[in-house]
Amino acid sequence: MRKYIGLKLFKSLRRQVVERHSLRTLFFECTLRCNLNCRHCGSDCRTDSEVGDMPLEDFLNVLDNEITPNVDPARVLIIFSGGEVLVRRDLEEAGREVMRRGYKWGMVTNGMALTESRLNALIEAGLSSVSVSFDGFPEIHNHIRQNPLSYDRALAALKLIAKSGIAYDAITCVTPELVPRLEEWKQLLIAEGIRSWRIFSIFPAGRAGRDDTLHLNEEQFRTVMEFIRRTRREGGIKLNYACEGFLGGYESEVRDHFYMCAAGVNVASIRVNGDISGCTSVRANFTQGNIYRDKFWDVWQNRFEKFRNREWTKCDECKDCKVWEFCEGGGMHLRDVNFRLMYCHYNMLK
Amino acid sequence: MDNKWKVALLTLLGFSTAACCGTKKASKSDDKAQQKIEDAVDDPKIMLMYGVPFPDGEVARPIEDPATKDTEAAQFPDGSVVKPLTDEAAEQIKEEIRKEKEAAKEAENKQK
Repeated sequence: MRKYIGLKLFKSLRRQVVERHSLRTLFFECTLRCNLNCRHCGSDCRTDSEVGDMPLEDFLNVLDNEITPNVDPARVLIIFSGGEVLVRRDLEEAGREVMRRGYKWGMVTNGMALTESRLNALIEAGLSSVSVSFDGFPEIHNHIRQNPLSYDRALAALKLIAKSGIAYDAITCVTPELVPRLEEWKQLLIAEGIRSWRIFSIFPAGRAGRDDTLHLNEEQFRTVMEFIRRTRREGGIKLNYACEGFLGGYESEVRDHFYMCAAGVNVASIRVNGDISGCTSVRANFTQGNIYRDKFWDVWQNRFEKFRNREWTKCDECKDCKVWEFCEGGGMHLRDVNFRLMYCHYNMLK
Repeated sequence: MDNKWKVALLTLLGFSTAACCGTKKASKSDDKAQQKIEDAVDDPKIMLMYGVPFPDGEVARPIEDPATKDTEAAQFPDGSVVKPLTDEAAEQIKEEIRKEKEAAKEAENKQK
């Protein structure tokens, strides 16, 4: 009953958040190049992407002419994402320019190219938050990342970042192999001085969609939820499950917040080719415009209908679902090219 | 019901971090906590799947770690290497930032 009231209250707050749709997080997918070739990559990134990096001046042009005049930069977090952001040589310059305009910025990285001098330069350029992918013990991480150095590099990067004092977390994409060893993995993270951790599971997109061995079954998924709940109660490390989907009875117990898909509500992204969308993990059929053709702010204010009114998701298995009012059809990234739901977290836990 | 009441009620129900992390620390005398309540009402901070943690006043400090100093970094599968910034280049960037800060300070002093 207590949780039901909480969900109802949050639903009411969420409705108003949608109405206001204040931009709070902006992803800049600055490159699709990557120095790894991960088995579970949702972006299908390659060493030499067919799509070139977006020139920094193009992004800054949108920032200066479309976004900054309409927001309080201090309340908008810009996230550089990829591909692997550290392959961009002008990342420091990009960060400095963003900082100069009053924005905070962060980045998601695999840690391969992070060294002490580079991290210091990035911090000088205003870097205030980092997430590092760290998927399990060496044999698991290196297998998924397909590089024998990747585990050591990711761990070294995390240790450096933890020392630096900025906000950070380690992100673990849990695969079936890791599920029985989660407790052991947690102890290792704590022993290495890592204090903030986020878990997510594979969803069927990019290369991950073609590899069934990476997907958790229902029992494994429930085990992960139980593990997160237990760990949060113990308090040895700050752990969250990612924003992926509505989790029924686990709501508010495995994350700091109730479930909400913020894509297109207060989160936007500028893709490497200029496309404007919600999160970078949402499929291309949800693209709302392109910075080379449209005015970003006009798109943000007047489009994004599918993101802000999710009545259209009330079909197929969601049609008669009793929790739709809290879930609204799940995360937008879980919808395929035909807008159909590919994966339901709630059903996995039934 | 007013939004602030809803957040307060969520807090009372034990969902102190449900709308925004940190609301449980709120007190009238604490401006920062008050700002957090306002943020919670305005926009809940959702930890995005491919996002990063929201910075919360952390203070960065320069780091010195011999174990990772000047190591070669990313290797592409084709064998080529992405080299990290050299220390000289990093120093140059730092110098530029220092000059920018000085210029900004001077401009601020002139305005005063």
